Amino acid sequence: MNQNNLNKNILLYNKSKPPNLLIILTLAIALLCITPALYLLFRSFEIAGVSFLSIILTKNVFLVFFRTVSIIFLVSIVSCIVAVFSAWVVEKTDIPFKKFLTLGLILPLVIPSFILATTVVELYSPKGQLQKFLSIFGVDRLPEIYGLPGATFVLVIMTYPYVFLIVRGALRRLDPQLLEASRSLGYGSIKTFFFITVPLLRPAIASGTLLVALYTLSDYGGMALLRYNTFTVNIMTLYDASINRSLPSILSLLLVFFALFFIFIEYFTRGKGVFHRSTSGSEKISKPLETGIFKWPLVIILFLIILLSLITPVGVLFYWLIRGLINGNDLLPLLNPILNSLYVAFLASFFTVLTALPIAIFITRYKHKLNNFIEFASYIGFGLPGIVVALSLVFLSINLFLPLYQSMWLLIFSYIVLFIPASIGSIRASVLQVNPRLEDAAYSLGKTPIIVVLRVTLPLIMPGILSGGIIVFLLTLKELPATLILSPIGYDTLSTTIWGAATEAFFTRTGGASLILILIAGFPMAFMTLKTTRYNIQK
Amino acid sequence: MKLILNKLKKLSKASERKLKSEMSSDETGVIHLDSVSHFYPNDKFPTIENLNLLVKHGEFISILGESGAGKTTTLRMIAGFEKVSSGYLRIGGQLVGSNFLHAPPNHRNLGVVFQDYALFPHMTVYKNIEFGMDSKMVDKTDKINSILSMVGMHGYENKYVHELSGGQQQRVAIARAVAINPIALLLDEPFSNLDRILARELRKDIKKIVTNTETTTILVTHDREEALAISDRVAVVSNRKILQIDSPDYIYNNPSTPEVASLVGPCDFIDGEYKNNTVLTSFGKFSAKPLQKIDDHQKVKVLIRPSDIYISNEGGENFSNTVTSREYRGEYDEYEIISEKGEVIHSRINNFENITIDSKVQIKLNKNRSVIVYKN
Repeated sequence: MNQNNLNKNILLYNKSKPPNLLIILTLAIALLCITPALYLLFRSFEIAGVSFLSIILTKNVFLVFFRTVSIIFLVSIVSCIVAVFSAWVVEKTDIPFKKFLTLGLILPLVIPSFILATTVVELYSPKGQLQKFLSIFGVDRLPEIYGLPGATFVLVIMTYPYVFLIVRGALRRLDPQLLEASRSLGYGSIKTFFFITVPLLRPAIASGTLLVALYTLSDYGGMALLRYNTFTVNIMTLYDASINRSLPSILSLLLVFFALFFIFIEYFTRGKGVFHRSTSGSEKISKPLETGIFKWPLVIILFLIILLSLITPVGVLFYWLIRGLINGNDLLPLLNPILNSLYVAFLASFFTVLTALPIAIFITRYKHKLNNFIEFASYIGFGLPGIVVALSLVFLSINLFLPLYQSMWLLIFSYIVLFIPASIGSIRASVLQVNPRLEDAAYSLGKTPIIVVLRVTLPLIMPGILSGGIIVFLLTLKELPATLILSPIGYDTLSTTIWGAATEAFFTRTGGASLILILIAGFPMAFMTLKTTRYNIQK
Repeated sequence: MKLILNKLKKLSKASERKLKSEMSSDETGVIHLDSVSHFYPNDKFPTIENLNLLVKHGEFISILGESGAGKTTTLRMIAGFEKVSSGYLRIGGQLVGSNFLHAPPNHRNLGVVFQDYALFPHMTVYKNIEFGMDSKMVDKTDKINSILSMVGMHGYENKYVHELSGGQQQRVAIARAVAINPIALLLDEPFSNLDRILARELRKDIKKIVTNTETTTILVTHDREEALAISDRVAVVSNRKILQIDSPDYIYNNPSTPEVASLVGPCDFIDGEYKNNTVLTSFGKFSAKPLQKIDDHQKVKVLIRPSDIYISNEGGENFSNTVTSREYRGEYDEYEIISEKGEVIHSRINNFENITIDSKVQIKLNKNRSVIVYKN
């Protein structure tokens, strides 16, 4: 279908007025999404201004701030280099095993940071497995892994796949004729890469980097296990100690401002991203670059990345599991957490998609004065660390809705706030692909609006809804801080079980539960990667 | 408020009932736009202004105009996708659109064919056609098959849309629209995504189908050849208004304004002085036809159709008009001629004379032709 026509159609539609029911519905959802952030702000005003300043101006807060900024900086740079390089190699060159390598580069996405962190400690600590192996060569102690080096390593592994996906998508939409034009004007392939490809990818790289920054800012499990004291870790420690409730909420507010800063940057770079996307049209197949003698070295580099980020962590988990099974531990206690995880992840996906759907339709189909607010409100969870949402909801429920405290619904609510941006992204993409003329045609054939939605719109955007649901499912399985704080007492999920076992160094149970989590999350992920090429994964 | 709602409900129900029954009294027309205007809430200018159009039963009307003239909005308004801002829109004599009433598209029973086909990609050809039909119909399969043969798509019922070519998709789209027994067929640039030969073929087939079934049809197009070839009447639209509605040959030969003239065919305009059914121009004297009363010796604007102009260089050097370019176009040659005064006209003639560039020529009108003149 002609892209220009499609855009023209959508423009035409932007002028029509959305149904009142849709406005009310989206407004209600948007307000719900913004509640945790608002409540936090409201509470911080309650605490007197003087103590506020005296808290945030301490040396400790300053140190935490410095640590947080430096790891965000480091992880962003390393992640981007790894991701852009590997995405370019698998998309644009003639190396073999592309499908296999791509899958291997994406799959680390399903491993939560706290699982990665436990395996990193096992492997690379001063007396870890790597040292045992290297002792053959006379190495009897490796440098310290706790702190910045270990935390950076874990965060890079867990964030580069997101950038990889975004950049790969952008590379696919890149018009190969631009590259051919560059070559015809006398630029070699390396020069073309730096002068044409990279500048054109800049919006994609920018949004990838911001994703990495937000993820690093909000990560709790990996940072805590590797004893790197960022804002998030600090807040959790203070909350656990529960001496003073206002201190964690003030720090949370700081964290929100930090995140808002990133959201705004993301919001503005996304404008450029639209330009980038509109050039898509049909995907043209470009001739892959011939790499000659570099072919196998490139394959080996990519394989090494996969080895470090996927194969060795999973290997360690297997090692623990087998060692545990030999020692007579059984896996039966894991049955309950598995069922709980599946149940809660299913509920979260269902309700998140249900709430994301009207918002996605509203912001893609109509130009309304509320658009900016609704987009911002639904997007806010993208920048809110899980721990902030969880704490706000705890205080909110204790003070205003006590029956909700410690209930499953509060947990689901937090997942909706956190993951609605990701599912909106994927549904929105599929709504954009549906020509509004199709709905017009259905109306003109005498069908009522409900029939049109059920028989035309929904079937056509189903792929987007499904992938949106799968993304939420995956993110819910991996989520740690909100789950730790909000899940009802005695309600263990896979991630809280792993966390409990890892912090108490019960490695067998960690191994088993982690492998199961990776399997549950990995299958839909692998399926989606192999089946579809375009979907938006965020956070 | 409640009153209006009730009224609306009653009206739309009534309209539905009436629309389903056969309605075609010639005084009211099948579709009647009575000084209809349309504007979007935040726009400075209306998209359509004060439109009057009466479409009779079985008639084929084209709305011809350039993009942005408001023709697609007109069609979408008739179909019910846009609301009437002022004026009255009647279908089958029944009011369906005005500033207080809007019957939704699904109550209007009009067959719409879209520029980009708008076939449902998740359904087969059969399902697409079945979609709008009465689900309780007894011989539905037979009917679908006969419609498919009518549009020349027999045997394709189990194909999916992406398996069809553009022309085939448009045939299915027509079948889908015809299948609901519409009061009228609305075609929105249905041929513009197809190549010329395919478009011409499909155009002939559509004309045959709507003539045989006596279906009232409105076609929106920017292609003058298409509009002139297929229609009973052509409505020329420019700048949000209808300029002229007439039969194709009348509108071509008697365009009411210079703007209409240039929209329905290639033309040049030169200055002239009118006197008693002739006009004196820098290219010579021609027999003239004024569309309104013009006094002698009045300055006029002269419409020249290239196909009416014949040139010759017999008689030598003393002609004052110079050939400045010549393009070979297959069936004819197009010459560009400049007068002493610097005015330019074109001529389309068969190349028997072999007139070269820079030669001096004489300009004549073809036999029995005269030029149209407009008051300045």
